[in-house]
Amino acid sequence: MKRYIVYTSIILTAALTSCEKLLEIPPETSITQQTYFKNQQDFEQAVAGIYAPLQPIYNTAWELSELRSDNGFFIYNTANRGGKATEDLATFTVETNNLSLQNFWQNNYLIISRANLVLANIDGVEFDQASKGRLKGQALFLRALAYFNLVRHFGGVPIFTQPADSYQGAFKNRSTADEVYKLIVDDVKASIGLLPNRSVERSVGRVTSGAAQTLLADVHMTLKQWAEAEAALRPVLQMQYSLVPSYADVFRPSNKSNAELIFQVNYVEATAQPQFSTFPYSFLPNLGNIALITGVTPATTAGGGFNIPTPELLQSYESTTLDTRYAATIGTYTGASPLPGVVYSNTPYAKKYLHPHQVPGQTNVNWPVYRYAEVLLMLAECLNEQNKQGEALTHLNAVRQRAGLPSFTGSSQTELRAAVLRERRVELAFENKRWWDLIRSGQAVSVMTAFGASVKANPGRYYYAPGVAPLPNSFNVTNNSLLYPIPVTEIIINPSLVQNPGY
Amino acid sequence: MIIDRLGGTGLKIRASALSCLLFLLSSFPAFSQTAMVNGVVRNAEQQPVPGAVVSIKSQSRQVLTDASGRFAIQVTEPTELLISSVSYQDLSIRVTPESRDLEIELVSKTAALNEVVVVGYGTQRRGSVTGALASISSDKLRDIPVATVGQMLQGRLAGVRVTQTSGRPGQGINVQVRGSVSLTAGSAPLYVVDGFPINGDLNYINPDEIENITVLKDPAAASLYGSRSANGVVLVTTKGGKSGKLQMEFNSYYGLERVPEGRRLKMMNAQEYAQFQKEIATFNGRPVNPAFQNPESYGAGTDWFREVTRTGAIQSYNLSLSSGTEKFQSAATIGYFNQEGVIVGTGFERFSLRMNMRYQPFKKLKIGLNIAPTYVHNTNFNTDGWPYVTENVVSSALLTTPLASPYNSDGTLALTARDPATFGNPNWLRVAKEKVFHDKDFRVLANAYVDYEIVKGLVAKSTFNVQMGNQNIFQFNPSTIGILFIPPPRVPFGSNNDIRSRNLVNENTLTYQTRIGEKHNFDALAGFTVQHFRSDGTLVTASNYPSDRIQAVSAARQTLVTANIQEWALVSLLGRIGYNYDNKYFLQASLRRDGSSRFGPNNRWGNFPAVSAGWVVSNESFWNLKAVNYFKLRASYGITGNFEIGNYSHFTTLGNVFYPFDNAVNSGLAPNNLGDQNLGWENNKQFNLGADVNMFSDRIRLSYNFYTRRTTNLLFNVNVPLSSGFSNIQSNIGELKFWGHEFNIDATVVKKNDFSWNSNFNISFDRNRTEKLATQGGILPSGIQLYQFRSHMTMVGQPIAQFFGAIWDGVYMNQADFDKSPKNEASKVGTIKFRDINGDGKITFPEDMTLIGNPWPKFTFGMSNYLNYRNFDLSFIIAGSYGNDILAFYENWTTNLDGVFNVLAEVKNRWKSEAEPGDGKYGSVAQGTTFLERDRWNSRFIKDGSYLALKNFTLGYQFIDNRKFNTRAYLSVQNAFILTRYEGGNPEVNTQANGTTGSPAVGITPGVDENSYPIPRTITLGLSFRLK
Repeated sequence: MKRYIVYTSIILTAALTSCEKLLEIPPETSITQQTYFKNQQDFEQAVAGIYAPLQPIYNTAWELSELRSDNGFFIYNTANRGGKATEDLATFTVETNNLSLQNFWQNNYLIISRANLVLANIDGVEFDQASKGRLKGQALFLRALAYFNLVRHFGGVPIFTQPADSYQGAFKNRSTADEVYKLIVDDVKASIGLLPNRSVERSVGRVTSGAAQTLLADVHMTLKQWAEAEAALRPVLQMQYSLVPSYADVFRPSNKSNAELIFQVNYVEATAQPQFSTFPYSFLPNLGNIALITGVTPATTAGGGFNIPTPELLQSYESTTLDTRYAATIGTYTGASPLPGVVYSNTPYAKKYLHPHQVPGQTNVNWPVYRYAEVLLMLAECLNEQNKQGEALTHLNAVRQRAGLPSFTGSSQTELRAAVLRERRVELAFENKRWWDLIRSGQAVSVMTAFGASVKANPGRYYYAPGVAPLPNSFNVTNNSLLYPIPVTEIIINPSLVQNPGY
Repeated sequence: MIIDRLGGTGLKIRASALSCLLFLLSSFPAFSQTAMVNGVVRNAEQQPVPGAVVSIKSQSRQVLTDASGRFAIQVTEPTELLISSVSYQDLSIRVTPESRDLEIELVSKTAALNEVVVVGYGTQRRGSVTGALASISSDKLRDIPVATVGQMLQGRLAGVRVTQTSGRPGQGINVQVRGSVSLTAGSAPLYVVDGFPINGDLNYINPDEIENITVLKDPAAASLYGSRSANGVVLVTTKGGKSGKLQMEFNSYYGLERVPEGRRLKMMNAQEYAQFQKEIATFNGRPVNPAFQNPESYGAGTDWFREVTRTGAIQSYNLSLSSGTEKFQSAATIGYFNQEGVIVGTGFERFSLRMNMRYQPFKKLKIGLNIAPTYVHNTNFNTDGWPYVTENVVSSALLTTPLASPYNSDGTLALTARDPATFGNPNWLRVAKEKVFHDKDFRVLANAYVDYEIVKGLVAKSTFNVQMGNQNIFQFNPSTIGILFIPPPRVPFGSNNDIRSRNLVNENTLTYQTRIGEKHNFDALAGFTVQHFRSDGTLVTASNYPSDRIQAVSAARQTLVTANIQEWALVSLLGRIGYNYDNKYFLQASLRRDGSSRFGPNNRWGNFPAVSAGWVVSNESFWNLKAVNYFKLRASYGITGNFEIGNYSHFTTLGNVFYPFDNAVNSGLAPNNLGDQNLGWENNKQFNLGADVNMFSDRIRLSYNFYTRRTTNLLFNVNVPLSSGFSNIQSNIGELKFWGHEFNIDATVVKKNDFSWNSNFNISFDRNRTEKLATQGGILPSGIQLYQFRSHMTMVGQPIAQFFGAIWDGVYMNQADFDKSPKNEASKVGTIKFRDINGDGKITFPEDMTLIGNPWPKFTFGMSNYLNYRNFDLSFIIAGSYGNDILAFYENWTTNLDGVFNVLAEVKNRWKSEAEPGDGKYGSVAQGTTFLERDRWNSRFIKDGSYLALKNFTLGYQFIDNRKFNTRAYLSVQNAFILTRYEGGNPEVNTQANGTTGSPAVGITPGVDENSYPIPRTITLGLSFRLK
């Protein structure tokens, strides 16, 4: 008996030791971080991963900027109130639980955490310095862009510069906006020296030093640091960017490598992994058969009815015929609507991004984040603010000339300021610039209050069906409206996070 | 499990057959004559019972049986013979003077204690059990016309709450042992079939293959299963062969099922709906569409729920063969089951075979092989849950306008269902008919074992168990169907999912039993087990098909392949020792040590010990309470574990993400899991105190258990701020407490020769409380996210996962009410009124949200009764629950006041004006205000989920019952009726439970109704034949 017990114990102990091996089971569809970063190729892949959240961000970023401004509105859908949260952004009735805000917040922080992971590991692996610099430059730029997005929309946000590695490590309180801006400027400046310029980096959609210069200028302009912004913009003029002769060609999917685009977010269609954009469909009116507008069959019900051009935007075109941008930007539709009470009669829609594609609902058009025309207008603005109206006019008129408009001749700072703002409104219509222009120029509250009054006075003019109107509490625009609320889920999880005033 | 139950079936059948025969004979005009009636008295083991007293009740005549159990007694007229013997239960039978050669079987008084009960890694006599377990044998499970074993257990076992959360054929059964709540993925118990811890549940097992089921509830019983035992263990034993001649049995039933009229939601008919639309337009100052101008011109219109439901057929056929010699026994069951769902297009069928063989070449060696292939096929496309994402036909059909017809004027199926107020929906009948869904699963469960007695009392056993699965789920959405808000035509799409799985277990045990002296009994068990599971899934998502004609994924113009590989291993050591002194004092201790691949190297091994003791007080010499023939006290303490944390949680991993450069997709990598390096085992320290009391010679058997369980190092996939770049982390975050009381009563109410009545009643009181939470803010939101607010909340000092929301205070009845009440920015006179919880004078969220309901029942209960009268048998089973709340989330869409859907008929009574304020439940239809009552969690969604249900009612009749042949027919009604105040169809509902497509939820989400597959009432006729 005893013998058996002894033998058994020996066998069991031996078996158990060999079984320890059996318990080492790493995942096979992912790779563990401890074993990952080994060589340049690993970092190339990790940097590509930083770009990925740009797609969801820019597919819907218009909700938080263009739709909020006096450029885009929506067609109220009484039969499907699922769009309420998006409409709230346009009517200044935003609640803290707005899902668009949460998605925007999350995707920008995904960029930040992925960039942090690369930056935390890249110096620990030896490989070619130039390649390493190029990779670090991209990570720094994308992190800066994400923080810039966050600080503009939410104010001071939690700053992460290292990957979170535990439950407690995932909690941070808000920093001030100044601290966030300082980090952005430091990151962009560091990236400029590491990144190649356009003539070296020929890959569409990759970050270049030109993109970094433009972002730096954008940040300085937001802070009204005109001289610094001008200094950041100057080198861009020397980087072989130019205005494409035809405005409409800038956005064509067949022309993605054109010389005007400085930084764009890439989308492609008909790939196995879904990589397409959908925003052109969000901008179409709702139709039972959307092929009537898109020409892409088979017939399907689609259209978001958002970012519908406002009468104010249409009026801001100096000429609907001379200005080639009008025809390139605005389409109209007349006919029946599936929405109760709505009939389309020369109803405008943003057609700038609508181009032929293969599958209904899946477009391959890129999102232009920065392009050369904007650089020229930014420079014009910086120069004008520094009372250098002469050169400012040249840049402004270069943009006007390409559009088919006569040169602007006003010369006072005030006149020129208004002219640049107006030019930006039509040149960059539906490129998510207008809301920030209104804030920078200090007009956001007054312009949007007036816009709201106009909508309430005549809802039919703003595409409301008969008997439907915005609520009395809408368009209560104050300085608090210049920042969005921190997503409520973040506050529920971390109660020590302080909400923005007014929410 | 009880192999030989009180009142032994063998006796019952024989005695009743005999008495039937005698009754027939005695009903002839009586010839008064005197004769000697003779017979033999034996016990259950067929041993003669000498010295038994055979008497005639009406007279004082009596005789004793001889050494071979034989007797002869003079009988003058039809009368009752009473047979009694010291250690057996009394028995009376009817005889006539013509009766000859009676065969009488007596049941031992202590049979109840000698029943053999299956426990973890072995069997025990019931009398020596010191843990808490509940068991049921197959004879109590027969006749119930349902697809799965789980369903048969409803209301049967104390401490085991079985709910049918959905009526989806072959699916929707939720088993919860002792109110066990896991905050993680699984609160399902571990299922062990013939000693094999299987992957998944019992849906793949033909109920006819099962001999008995035991549920291990406390650590003394369960902790030998270590890291998987926290939610209880369900042991299933399948039918084996017996020595003797060939036995053949054929069981079949056929029936029909439909949704009871009383269990349907009352939606508006066409006239009411048109009136509703007219009133919305008028109220908001919009022009009334001509279609709604004259509501009285419409009749009832289309009842879309009725259109997509039907009367379904249910059928089952099983043939069992069993035969054996001393050295070789085998049993085989072959079965076919088919259930047509009550929703058009759904259904479930199962082909099953099981062969159990046991070979004993010589006395010390036993070799066994069980093999059970099963093929299961269902067409249950997405039916349950909210209407917004997939076709979920139940909720979607309810919402569809009654003005539209499913048919075109030429009788063909319409493409869409729309009216001038609504956006246009698919034709749901067409969706149900044309959606292609096939879930085909072929599984094999096999066990082989070798059992060798090395020396007397010492047995070595090795088992090798294999579970193979090969599943394919194919879906195709033709262009003619759509979902809510996305009506056809659509571009066709589909998917093909192949999942291969393999579960291997090897277990090696040594058991030793000995007795020292007369009274010291010892037993010991030592074992070593290895388990390895792997599944490989390949999902092909196919989109952009050119047409509906070719549905194979190869026809799609775009396909996307996703791999899902899951693998885990468990290595364990286990041991148990037991001691009993003179069957009076029992002691037992056990230990399992588990090593799991699911934990990091630092915390890989966990120990799960248990100790228990029992004292049979009634065996003490001082015990003189005659009425109580058995009284035992039991206590146990131990640790059980939970390893349901997913396979790779402790790794921080990177997964593929994609971004295109230069118009080509570029594959990148990004973190996809934040691993907690210190992730450790969740511990469940459980204490159980119990008593077993048998009274009046086992006529009444009571069992009581009290338990407490403290879960420390609670494992939870806890949310982290999105700003970290992650959304959650699997971590040990808290401490929970569970406690409860369970009562079980088995009674032989009447036991006469031609009439018997056995009854069971059980009731369980389960409680839980959150003791500690290490999360920021000390709260843990979970559940469905509705506009970023979670439906459930766990807070320290409170029951786990209660409902969380605003408190509904009716509507603002008039301007005065509105002026003096706190309000939201969007509130108006006539809109819903909430309570200002934080007292700031405004209604805001989440500031004015609080705990609004408790999903956990105060108690659950069950009762079953079995009556036999001559050849008739009758049984009925009742189950119920009291005090649990249900979150009737379906009112979010079925009471939408914007006029975008059809709504519940009661919405008619909403606030219409100060003069016509309605019943205060629904607010006004004012544009821009209605989201408040619909899209914010509030107590108006909370309903009482208490119910009492007659789950099954069966009436049977035996046509023939002789020594060779038995045939019986029965009528069985499943879900016969239900008493409840809950209007939402099924009070057992939880659309967030297994296998349904509810709205996206995180963590624990009990008691939610988002419209589920209706529970049909089933009426079947069954027929069985048995060759003995």
